[in-house]
Amino acid sequence: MDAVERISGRMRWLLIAQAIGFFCWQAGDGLAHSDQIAALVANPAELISLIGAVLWLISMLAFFAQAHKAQRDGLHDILNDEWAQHVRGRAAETAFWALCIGVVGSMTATNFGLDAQMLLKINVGVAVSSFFLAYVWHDSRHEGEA
Amino acid sequence: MSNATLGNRMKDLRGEAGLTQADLAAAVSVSRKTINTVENGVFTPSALLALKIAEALGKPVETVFWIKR
Repeated sequence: MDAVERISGRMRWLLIAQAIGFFCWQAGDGLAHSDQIAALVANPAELISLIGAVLWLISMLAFFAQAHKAQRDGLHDILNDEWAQHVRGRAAETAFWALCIGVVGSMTATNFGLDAQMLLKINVGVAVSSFFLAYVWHDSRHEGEA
Repeated sequence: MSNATLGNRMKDLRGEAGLTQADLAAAVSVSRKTINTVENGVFTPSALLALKIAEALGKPVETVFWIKR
């Protein structure tokens, strides 16, 4: 495994951590502050939301530290490289579809009386996390002999 | 819908030219990861990047890249 694959692997794990952290933060917050959710679920959801926010923040900072190191060493440039632009575009496309499906599902669910605020938070979590996970999926396709 | 993909001889030609991936990446102003993905056939580069790579390898672009059907 060469330097490009090592740093790419680390960045992908940090993106997975960001996906988990961001989803837990948003979905937990949505559940914790909904009147429709019992305290039995709302209290742990508050804690999960807090843990998620901390995980997302730490993994995001670590990700950008790795990205800076990769750019400095000429291994990978997450902003300007053609490959990075390609992966980002595919990931954004996935997030867009996840958001569309989530919004349609949520609008249907609100017709049956579910809390729109809670569903909005969960949708945001799903859309952003799907971007991170799709980025990991597409980026992992680069693996190969150097 | 076409199933055509882009084939390349980048690795062989890079070896002949005595260039590493890092050298080639620096010559065409991209990172090693982009060179790696193009070389492994994972990523189809833009026309501009394909021309820059061919120029850096000192070969016509059609020698470096071709359409695989």
